[in-house]
Amino acid sequence: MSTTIVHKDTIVADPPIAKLLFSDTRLAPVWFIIRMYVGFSWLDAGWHKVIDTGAKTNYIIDGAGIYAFWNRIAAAPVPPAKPVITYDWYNGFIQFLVTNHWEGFFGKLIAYGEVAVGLGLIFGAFVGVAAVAGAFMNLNYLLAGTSSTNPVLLLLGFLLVLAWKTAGYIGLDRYLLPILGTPWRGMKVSSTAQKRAATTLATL
Amino acid sequence: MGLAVFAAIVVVAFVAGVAVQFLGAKPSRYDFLIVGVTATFGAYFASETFPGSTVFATITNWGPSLDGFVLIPGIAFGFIIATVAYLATRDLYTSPTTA
Repeated sequence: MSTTIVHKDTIVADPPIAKLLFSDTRLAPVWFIIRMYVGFSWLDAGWHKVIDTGAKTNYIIDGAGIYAFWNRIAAAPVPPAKPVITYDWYNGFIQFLVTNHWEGFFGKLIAYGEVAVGLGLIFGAFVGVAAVAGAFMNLNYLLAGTSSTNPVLLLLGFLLVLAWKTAGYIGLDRYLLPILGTPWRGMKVSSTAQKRAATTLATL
Repeated sequence: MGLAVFAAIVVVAFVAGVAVQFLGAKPSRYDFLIVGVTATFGAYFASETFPGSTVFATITNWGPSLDGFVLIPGIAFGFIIATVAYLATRDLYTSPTTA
């Protein structure tokens, strides 16, 4: 009987196809195209909400638009019709927002959030964060019973999250990521500073 | 957009890509592909999406169109994103990408 020893620090390597798709800058043009499509979809949807000043449809003045939407999806249907929201816990969450009048806060959050996600994806700034935020909004819209383009945007958002390292290569992330570094690598330091640190360590 | 004009967009985009590949400062094997694909996408996307979108609601006259292809936004956006993609990737395929 064979025994497999798994060490605590075992790192499972990605298959070559995953490396090519999600970590290779040569595929950056593909992610650039996907970013343009998803980003403009978010920007258009968000800007529509930002400039809407209708008394019963606005999102940023008093949130009357999202309040009406919440009331519509959370309403108990007449049997045998099924409720718009499938999950009771999500219906309860929407009811909580309606009861406590969170429409003013969430109206602004959604409208400006969609615009921010759109701009982030179009300009390639913090693509991973923007894609996560966009996918989270897609998920919420789907839970609220809205289909529209959300399934496709959610799928593309997942892919952009997987490709966060290279999806913004044709964009601002090409400069932002090396400058900011990653939490587990630290910030980029100059070669002079590296040599100085190495010299210091060697003399210890 | 009609199939004929879409085919014409593809042909023009790839001809531009081949031209860039032969005339560019740092020619590589894939310039034609990058320019062709991004220019095609940009032209189609802008023509289909920009007119009528909320972002560009202040623009009421988008100029002439050909078989459903709105020329000005289509050509302009196709040119812009193909140029951006070309400039950002022209060093990628001429040198090793891994250390």
